[in-house]
Amino acid sequence: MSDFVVHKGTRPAGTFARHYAANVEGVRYEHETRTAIMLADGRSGAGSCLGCGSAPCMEKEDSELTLFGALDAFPGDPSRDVCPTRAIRWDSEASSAYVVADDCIGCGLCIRRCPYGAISLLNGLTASVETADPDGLVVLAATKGEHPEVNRSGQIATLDAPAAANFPTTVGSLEDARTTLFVRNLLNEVGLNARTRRRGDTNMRIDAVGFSRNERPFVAEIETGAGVLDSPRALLEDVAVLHSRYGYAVDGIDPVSIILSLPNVRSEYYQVIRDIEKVLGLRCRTVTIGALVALMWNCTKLDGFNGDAYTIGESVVNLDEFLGLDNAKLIEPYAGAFKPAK
Amino acid sequence: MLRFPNPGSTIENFVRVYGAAFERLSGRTVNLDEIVAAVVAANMATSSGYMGEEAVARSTRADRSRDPLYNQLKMYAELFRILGWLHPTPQSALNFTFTLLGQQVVAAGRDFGPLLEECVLGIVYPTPILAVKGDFDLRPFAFILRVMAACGGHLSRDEMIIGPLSAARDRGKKDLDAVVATIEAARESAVASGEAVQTVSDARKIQVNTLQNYTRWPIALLRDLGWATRGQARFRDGRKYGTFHLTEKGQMLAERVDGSVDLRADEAAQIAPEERNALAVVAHFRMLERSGFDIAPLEQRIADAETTVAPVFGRLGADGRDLLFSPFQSLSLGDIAAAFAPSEQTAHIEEGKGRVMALEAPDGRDDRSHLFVHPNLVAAEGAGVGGPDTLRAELAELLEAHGKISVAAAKFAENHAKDTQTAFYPLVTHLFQILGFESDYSRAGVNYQRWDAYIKVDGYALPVEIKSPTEEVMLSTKAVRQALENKVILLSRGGLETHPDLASLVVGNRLPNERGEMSNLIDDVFKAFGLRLGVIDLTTLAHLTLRAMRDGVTIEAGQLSQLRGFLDV
Repeated sequence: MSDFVVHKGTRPAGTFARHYAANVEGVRYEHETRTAIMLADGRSGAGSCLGCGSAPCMEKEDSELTLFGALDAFPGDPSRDVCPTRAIRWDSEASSAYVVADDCIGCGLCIRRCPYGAISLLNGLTASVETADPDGLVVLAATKGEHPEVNRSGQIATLDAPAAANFPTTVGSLEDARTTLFVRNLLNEVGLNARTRRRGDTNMRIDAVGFSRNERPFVAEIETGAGVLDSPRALLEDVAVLHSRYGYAVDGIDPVSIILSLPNVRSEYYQVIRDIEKVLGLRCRTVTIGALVALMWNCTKLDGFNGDAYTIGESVVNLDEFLGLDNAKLIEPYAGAFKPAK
Repeated sequence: MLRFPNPGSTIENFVRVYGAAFERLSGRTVNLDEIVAAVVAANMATSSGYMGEEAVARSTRADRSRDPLYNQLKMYAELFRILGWLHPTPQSALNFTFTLLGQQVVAAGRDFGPLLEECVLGIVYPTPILAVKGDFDLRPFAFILRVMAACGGHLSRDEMIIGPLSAARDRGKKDLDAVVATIEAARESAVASGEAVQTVSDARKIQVNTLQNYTRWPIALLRDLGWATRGQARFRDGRKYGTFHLTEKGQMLAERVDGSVDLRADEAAQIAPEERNALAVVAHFRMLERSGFDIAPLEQRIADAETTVAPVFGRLGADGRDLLFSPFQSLSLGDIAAAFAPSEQTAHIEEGKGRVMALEAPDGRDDRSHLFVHPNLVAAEGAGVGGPDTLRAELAELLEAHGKISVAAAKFAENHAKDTQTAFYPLVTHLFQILGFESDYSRAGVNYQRWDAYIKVDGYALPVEIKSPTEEVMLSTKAVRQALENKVILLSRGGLETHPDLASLVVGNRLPNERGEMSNLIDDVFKAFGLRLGVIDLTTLAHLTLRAMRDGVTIEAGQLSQLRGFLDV
């Protein structure tokens, strides 16, 4: 007889504590409204937690952390956590996820990943998991199955939601490892195949690598503090490493600074980026965490870094024009998210 | 003093490294080379900035003591053994098997915290399966918690060194009182605390920073397990210092530890074998129960064991739930095999395979000789006569006093080892002037020109990034990155005439002992952008300057302007 015992929190993949009577075809988000689902049988209503074993709201699958080609050897953060603050947890008695509101920063990652529309940013500040089945769509019987490919639409919250306004404080105070995990998860949700570095690995200084949707490799530096001015210089090193050690052509790599807020318009940051392009022909791109959240909240993908995309040019220093969102949705969530402070 | 290795990672990564090795190797007897391969295959290790198989190839050296990946995994393995997750085989302490306890840690997934906590409290010395230097009778983490509670709820890094980690015994109140008295005495002032650490350093013949290194893993555990948070306290003389305060959770745990029956290996050894097996079963499954595992399927087995061990619990005054005793960390391999169902070992390592692999390996790195450039010295009219008189006088005096140029240069560098930016930037410029080159430095506040100084060679400028000894005792790759940026900015913004193929220089106090990272970066930048980065340390620059003064020679201009790598006299 084996002496091995199972952890009570173990959730076998492919199992569901409850289910809907029909497949989920669509998930629709609306500001300050419960996330809605559209079922294949034509019914719709508020989503509810089905207690699924693999819980994509909490954990990523290993396959989601895989990179293409030689970059798959990049020593990334192995954490499968979705939530940067581990605010979403599992209630094994009730077989459902729940959010510890005090720990939640309202980023929306768990909301975006739940295929059953069970999580909402109802108060615009913190996520909450619906377990009550207000529209009577849930069948109270366990089942097995795979997660459906659902069509997501709408807006998790408007960009003036208090959670977004708080990002400079909430994201700014995350410890280094959780910041990079947050950025990795955001990049994944906006469609980039990305991996961020493992904290403590002093041999590898590149903060993130991956591929954009047009399959070009990118290297990224993640800076949420005062190190923003150093990131273009660090990107040069990242490009040099990827080129000389892994054989990617210099002009085939996109260097990207992922920052919390754009520096002041007079900052040397923009000038150094222009110097690099002028001398080395390398176009360093800049994406803010606010911009990534804006894309994710609006169910939009980041297509890649073609042409001028996310380039801070001679006169253009606004990121909002690259996001592909209606002007009505383009409220800058916090100062520096889309435009540099003047 | 207890020495915990510092593998340099977060506790979450630490657990995942074990998980990566377990998933690939469990059920086998393995050696460190196989664990290295498994961890690399899981993308969890790098070497010299390389990843994957390339990292293994570059790390592997015939001299295993210089093999970075092997050494890092050796540290991990030692900690895994301390935690009872890996056991040595009866035949060899360098071959390991994965334990049932380790399997349970992996099975906990993201909820590994409570079981890790139990294993941390389970660390105990001595044990029949761990050989450590020194004669210890300690349960170190339980003792750290007790000491923290007894010392006002906080303990600093230095207090950990002089207190619980330096104690030989922790069994009775007397042992606790002695450690508390040592810490309380050190809390008089920063000087008293520093002296207490120095006393440990002198007695053990271990440098203070190495002693501090031994506390990194314990501190990471205190922090990541939520037992303590960083804060401040005051010495009795009023000065503040950084410390770690017990959290509410840490306080509760300290109370639990205090109220528990702490059973040590020597006491367990005196229990009759049948009762000892039963004790192991009860203690192990109660640990798992506290950690959130479902032990209901083994209810009968545990109940039977409790019946068998009841007389022992009666003697100890314990009930099985208030016991500090982790069998996989306290009992011999034979006792563990008798108490628990063995996990099947399906394969054995090929003896010596890793060693052969290592012996066949080169020194693990590319040939870097092209980056060590011996200067070509040529006679030059202006050599040795430029620069300020005072600096030339200082150099001449040193040369006269020491005779040999190498000694005078070393002495010069030593004399300037505490120079700040304000003194060092002009110093470097003046040394280049004595070498016969036009050179000037940027004044403080001129940010547009990023370079700290420039020298002119045949009318073209080479930007110089300077790091004073007070900024960097040893030059770092950061300075090399800045030299690259200097070159890009100079080429873009102009101001001084230059060419892309002329070097950008770094000058600083000393070169690091391990120049691998810098060498790689210099090579990578040249391969990617065709830009040359040259590095000169103060002793080398002083050496050349002394030659210029004594012999009227200087470094060939073309060689300096094409420098790629380290100028090496």
